[in-house]
Amino acid sequence: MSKGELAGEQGPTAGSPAAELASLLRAVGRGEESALATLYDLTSPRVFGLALRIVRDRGIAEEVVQEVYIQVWRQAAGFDPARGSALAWLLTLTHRRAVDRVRSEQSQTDRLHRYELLERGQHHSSAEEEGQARIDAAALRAALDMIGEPHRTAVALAYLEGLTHREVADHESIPLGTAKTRIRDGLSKLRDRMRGGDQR
Amino acid sequence: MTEDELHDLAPLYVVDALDADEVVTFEDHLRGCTSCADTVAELSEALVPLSEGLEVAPPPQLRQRVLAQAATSATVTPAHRTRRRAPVWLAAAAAAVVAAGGAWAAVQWLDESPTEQVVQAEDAQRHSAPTDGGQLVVVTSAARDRAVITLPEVVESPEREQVYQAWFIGEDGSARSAGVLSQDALEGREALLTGSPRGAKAVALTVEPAGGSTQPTQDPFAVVPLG
Ligand SMILES: [Zn+2]
Repeated sequence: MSKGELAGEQGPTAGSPAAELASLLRAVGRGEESALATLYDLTSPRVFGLALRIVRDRGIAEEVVQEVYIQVWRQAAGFDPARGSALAWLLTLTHRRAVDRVRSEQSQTDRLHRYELLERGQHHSSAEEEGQARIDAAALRAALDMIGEPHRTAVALAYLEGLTHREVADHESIPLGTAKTRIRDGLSKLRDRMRGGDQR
Repeated sequence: MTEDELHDLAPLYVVDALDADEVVTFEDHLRGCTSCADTVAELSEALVPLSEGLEVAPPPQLRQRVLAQAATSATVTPAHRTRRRAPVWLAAAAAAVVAAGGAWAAVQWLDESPTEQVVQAEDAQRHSAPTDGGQLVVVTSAARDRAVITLPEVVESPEREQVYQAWFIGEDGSARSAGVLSQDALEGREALLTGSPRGAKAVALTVEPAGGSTQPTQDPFAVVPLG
């Protein structure tokens, strides 16, 4: 796919939420603090929610949010809306930071164990977490279910639990090559679904 | 790793499922591969729905903390903008990547600025030397093959028609230019040095005529031994 096509297909329509985020990012890139504040107000629940889902610790998730917006503040000038949406960029930064924190602070065993509890619906230590887990079960699972097994589990383990492809292979007792293929095919399905008209 | 094996890492990179050393390998490839840059952009977009519905409002104090920190940290903006300028070298380094790989699309998806990549590299090594104004610090990363200099809190500006220039000093005492510290670098206090720190035993700073020199014309006023 050429750059032109990418921009034509995915460039934000004027006045859309995506266009609003993109123009906010450009203003942030010019050093406008009020634009950063607005961007934060519009996107921080999403960023915090994803970070919290991965790190499962409010304190660490808050640190991730802070790091993400400071990185955005410092690097927004390099952002080009023709090459990807503002939200995708924000979530990419968030995911990386959150996964880094999970890998450095929680052992692999803890993370795998946690995934098992989540899958069985036993990981509810507070009312808030319980409420959040229910939300997981709805919107998130709908998106994941589009992928279908066995790819669904591989993508969920990698994206939502922060496992490496080696850890996914261990967890599923499958060869490394199979784990890679499942993640790759799962993402391809997700992308094809988006192209297939589920876009807003 | 073959070319095909490298392309195959793209989806794993997008979900951060690669090991740290594989990330370094893949990002080196990504800088020069427009096909992978497209894949990374597309798949990053495709992942957006996976966090839909997970929204949780962060505590109100966090907003204050973020905005307060932003107010005191520099943004990386192109050199022609005057407000809150970051080291020009960051922009120059980014431009060099474009020229080399033709894939600015890829750069957007790399996890850090070149400076942060060095500072946050797994194998980052911190070297320092005391000066009158505070510690002069050089961070090197063999994996990134780059070095970053962080200036002390108090830095006197060079005299008119003069600049500060950084040098990689070899074992035999030879000097290789690591770039001139621009006014912006002095203000931002941090700069990616030009060239590889490989083989260097120290980083030295000298005063040079405007525009810099190909070899030092004076004795260094600061030296940070590496290792
Ligand atoms: Zn490639």
